[in-house]
Amino acid sequence: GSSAEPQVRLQFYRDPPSGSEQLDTVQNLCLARLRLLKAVEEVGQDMIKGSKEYMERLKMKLGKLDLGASLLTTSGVHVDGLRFREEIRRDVLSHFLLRLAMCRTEDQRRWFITQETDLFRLRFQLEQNADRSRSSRFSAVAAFLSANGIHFDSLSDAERSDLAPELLAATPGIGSDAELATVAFYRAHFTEALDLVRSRRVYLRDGFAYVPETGVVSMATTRFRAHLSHQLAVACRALPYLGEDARLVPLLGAIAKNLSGDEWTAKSGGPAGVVLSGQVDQLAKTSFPPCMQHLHSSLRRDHHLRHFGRLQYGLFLKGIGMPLEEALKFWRGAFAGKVDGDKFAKEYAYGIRYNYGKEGKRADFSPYSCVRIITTNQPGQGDSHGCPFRHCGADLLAQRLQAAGISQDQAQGILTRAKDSQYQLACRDYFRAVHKLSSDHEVSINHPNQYYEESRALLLGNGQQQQSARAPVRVTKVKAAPAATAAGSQAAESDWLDETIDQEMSQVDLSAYEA
Amino acid sequence: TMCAELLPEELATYYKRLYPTHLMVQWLSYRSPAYFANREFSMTLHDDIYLRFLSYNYESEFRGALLDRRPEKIDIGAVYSCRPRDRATVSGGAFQAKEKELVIDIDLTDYDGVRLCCSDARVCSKCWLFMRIAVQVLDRALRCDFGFRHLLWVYSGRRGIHCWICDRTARQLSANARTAVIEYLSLVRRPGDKQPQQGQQQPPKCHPSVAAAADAIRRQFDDLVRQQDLFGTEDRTRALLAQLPEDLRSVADTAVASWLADPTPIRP
Repeated sequence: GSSAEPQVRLQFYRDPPSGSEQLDTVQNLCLARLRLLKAVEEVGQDMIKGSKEYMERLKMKLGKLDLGASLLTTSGVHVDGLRFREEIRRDVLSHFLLRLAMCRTEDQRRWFITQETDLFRLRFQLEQNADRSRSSRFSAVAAFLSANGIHFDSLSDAERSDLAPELLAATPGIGSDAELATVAFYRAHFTEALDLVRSRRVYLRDGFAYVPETGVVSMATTRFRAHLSHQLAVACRALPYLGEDARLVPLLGAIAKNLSGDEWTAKSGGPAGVVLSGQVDQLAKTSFPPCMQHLHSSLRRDHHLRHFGRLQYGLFLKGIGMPLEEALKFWRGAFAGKVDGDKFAKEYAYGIRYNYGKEGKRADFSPYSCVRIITTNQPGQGDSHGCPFRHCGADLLAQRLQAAGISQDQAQGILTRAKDSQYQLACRDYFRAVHKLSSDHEVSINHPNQYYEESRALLLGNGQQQQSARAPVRVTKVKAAPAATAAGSQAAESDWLDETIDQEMSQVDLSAYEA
Repeated sequence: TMCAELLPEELATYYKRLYPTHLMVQWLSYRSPAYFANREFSMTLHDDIYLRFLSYNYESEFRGALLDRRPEKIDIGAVYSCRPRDRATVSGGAFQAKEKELVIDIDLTDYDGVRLCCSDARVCSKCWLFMRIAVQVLDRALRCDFGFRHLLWVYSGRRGIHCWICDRTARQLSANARTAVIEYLSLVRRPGDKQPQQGQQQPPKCHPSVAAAADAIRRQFDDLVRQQDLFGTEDRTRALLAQLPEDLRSVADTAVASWLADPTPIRP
């Protein structure tokens, strides 16, 4: 149109694109966005999210990438109509295509949601900054929110002064009553401001959060994440019906595999041979990652582990090749002295069989990845699970490093990494230190079982390199598959979670697509 | 010490005469029979037989099942998109958990580090004070901060308490929202926990919720200190204060030093 107002670039991705595209355009777009999201992930690992350095680094990295530059352009910057429409289309199309590629498994969905949400947050903040420094009264943020039906209730001056003492006490970044009067506040149901509620950075009363204007980005991001999560679940359920297009499905599968090369799965590079319960003590010393070493030594010391410790460690042991019978033997032996045979059979054996898919839903649970261990199930008093680089204090960590025979210098480096929240990099440095490798030995730690396998490969003098985590994309041919039957695909997705039901709900069996 | 194994006959009597079947059904229906029918129950029977995805269409069926199976343990699961017992009749994606109460579980063994009268499964009226305080703190926060109104506080039977939050909003909370609620309510920092971002505030701020919790605790803290004799010995005093985070270390050391120099009894 001929309106003088700039067009809004920021997307909520509510409506799927239409029209048709060449297959190789589709492929290029998908890969371009995937590269973008990987860059988002990497910067997020190296820096504190939301910090100034993080934003600068992200802008720089994304700006260099195909698709990245156009996504970072804010709404006020004028480009001609044709180019504008083209850039919007690439944004929207690549997003929706990746939704299809990344909706299959829970890990992929979680990864996709995290990176897309971080990307959205960056773009929203850039738009906010641009709005502030714009001379005209146009607000891209307001236009975006209104175009997507998102409305936040603002507080009147009277309401704000009534609540002034509480708002002041609860809201970080505001130092005085005078300052408070200059800040706009919004009142939203607490479910709209989860990130702020979670970290107790807003005043909560009667189920409503009182959010300062700096919190609008958090609320918008919360909605974005919730919406995307829901849409991915919908996409996942719709996947079987895509079977008709025999070109699209393998492409999407290959794209997902490109990413999941970083993920450890039981099928790829599984250990040779079976691990017996009697071998664990020795293996723990030489090849277990520190998280599992700690669980193992706590188990030996206390003859017990609490629920999440048993879960994290038990699944890990399954992943290294311990079969069910050995696992039962191992745990029974480990608990001996504290728990007698009957009590063990009654209270613990079921859980172990459950993890091996022999009870209940009979799903095959995967051992937890590093990201999962770091971000979920925070350990409390008396727990031994979690990631030591994240969950241990610096003193205790230093002690453990020393006990592992790591030199002062190397330990210092590891501790710094941990302090800077670079937990997986700390673990990588730990791996290098205990295996006496040089600091440029290529390895990246994403999964405890991967740590174990890399360690075994090294110690067994396995000449050939472990298959690189970044294997080239292989496009596999898939025969047109029938729609999954009720027996094949179980309960898939729901935003909703009960810790005991989570694992049930997270498995989507689409083995028809495993080539 | 522990109660003996319950005989099936005793359980039969219990379910026949004592178990409040009608109230349970009335509660879990939330005025909708269809809602009750879609609720999952699981039961642990004698000999550790564990049955999941049980569901009942009417109170009479539920009561019949209790009398028939005489479970030693009953777990209340989620409300699903269809009757759990009919789950095989719907296609894969159609059977999913839809709603569930938010349940908070307080276990006295979490206080084993600070309660000196008992440990593990033992509970007495002295350490129950910890529980009383915890319930007061949580009840206020859940009602005043989150606006929840339908809270069911129950004794878990051994050494803990469960709070069932039954408001419709609570039942419909997403996974993310549930963890957010719990994290909002989490306060204890252990040595090694990072300091929460305070920014460059002077003086440092105390969130109203935290201040309210501190008030509730302060009202009973004298009793607690006395009953548990928390600071009665040097070792105990040091061990307790060692649980404070790094940034309070010097404050703690000064406090211990002056306390040990002159341990005055608390004025009544």
